[in-house]
Amino acid sequence: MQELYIDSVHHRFGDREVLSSVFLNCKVGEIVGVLGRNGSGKSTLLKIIFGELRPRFMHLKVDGTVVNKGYLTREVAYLPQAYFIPYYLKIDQLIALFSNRYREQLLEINVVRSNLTEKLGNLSGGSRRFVEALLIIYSDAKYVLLDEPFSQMAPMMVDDLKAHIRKFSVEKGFVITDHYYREILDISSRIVLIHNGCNYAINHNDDLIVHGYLPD
Amino acid sequence: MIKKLRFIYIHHFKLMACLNLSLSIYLTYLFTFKGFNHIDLYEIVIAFKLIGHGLTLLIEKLFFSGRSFYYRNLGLSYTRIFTVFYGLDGIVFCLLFYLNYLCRSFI
Repeated sequence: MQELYIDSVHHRFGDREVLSSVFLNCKVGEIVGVLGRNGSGKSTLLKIIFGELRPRFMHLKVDGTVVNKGYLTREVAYLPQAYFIPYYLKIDQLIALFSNRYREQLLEINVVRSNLTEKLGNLSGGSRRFVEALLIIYSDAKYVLLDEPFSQMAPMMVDDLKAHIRKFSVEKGFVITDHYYREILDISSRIVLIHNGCNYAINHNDDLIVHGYLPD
Repeated sequence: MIKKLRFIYIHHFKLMACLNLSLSIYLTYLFTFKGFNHIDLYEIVIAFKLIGHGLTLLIEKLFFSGRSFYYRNLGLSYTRIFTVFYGLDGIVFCLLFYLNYLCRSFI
């Protein structure tokens, strides 16, 4: 079964319980949007799946195999909120490092092709973020976790990034979280809301109002 | 995987590799100077090597912790990166030591 599956996630920061019995699954071919207020535990959940944070308890399976850390399977890639690639590395070096299967397709993208020998730190903030997101999307991983991928990007770039995500939505599974909820609603095949440490399936936009994510 | 590790060591561990190599050369020099029949010297080597490796890990964790997502997205854990690094450092030290021993034996 081609599925990323996590359940019974319990995590607390100090005395504050951030996640309690949270469940999430993402099949290949799905784009799961995760929404929630600031501090609701969206990024924490993604970090737990990736293996960056160790929760009090969780049960994680990648393609039916129980694992402790997603990244060790090399089937899970994660785009964090902040820049994560050292600024002094060149884009052509990074492509060789991150992407094997989709390298040719990645090299055809305009921002990549025109800055191939540039250092990442020489790009503008938005372009740097865009290139980092592309490296994760075009990596060999089957499941892609994107933590606020649209932040720092101009509207045109956001549309571009959404097109790249849609392009891979057939052969990969995506879990995306962002505060630009309209973009998430637009691109996702399924929405999950994290609220009060628990997850709720969102079937209609009005559910977001009912659960207090959007104002009346 | 080897390609990724090699890239990481070349681009991010140059300083650490130089520090550990300098320590190895200095420790080998001690053997040249004092001879190979001092047990204390072997204990010093183990202690200094452990300190060197501990410092390497500390520097990475304190000053370059932001790279952790980068390493992990390449499928590499700190455990693997440092185990291979320490292993290579150990091999280099053993080679230097053996070379030194051979040179002294022939001279």
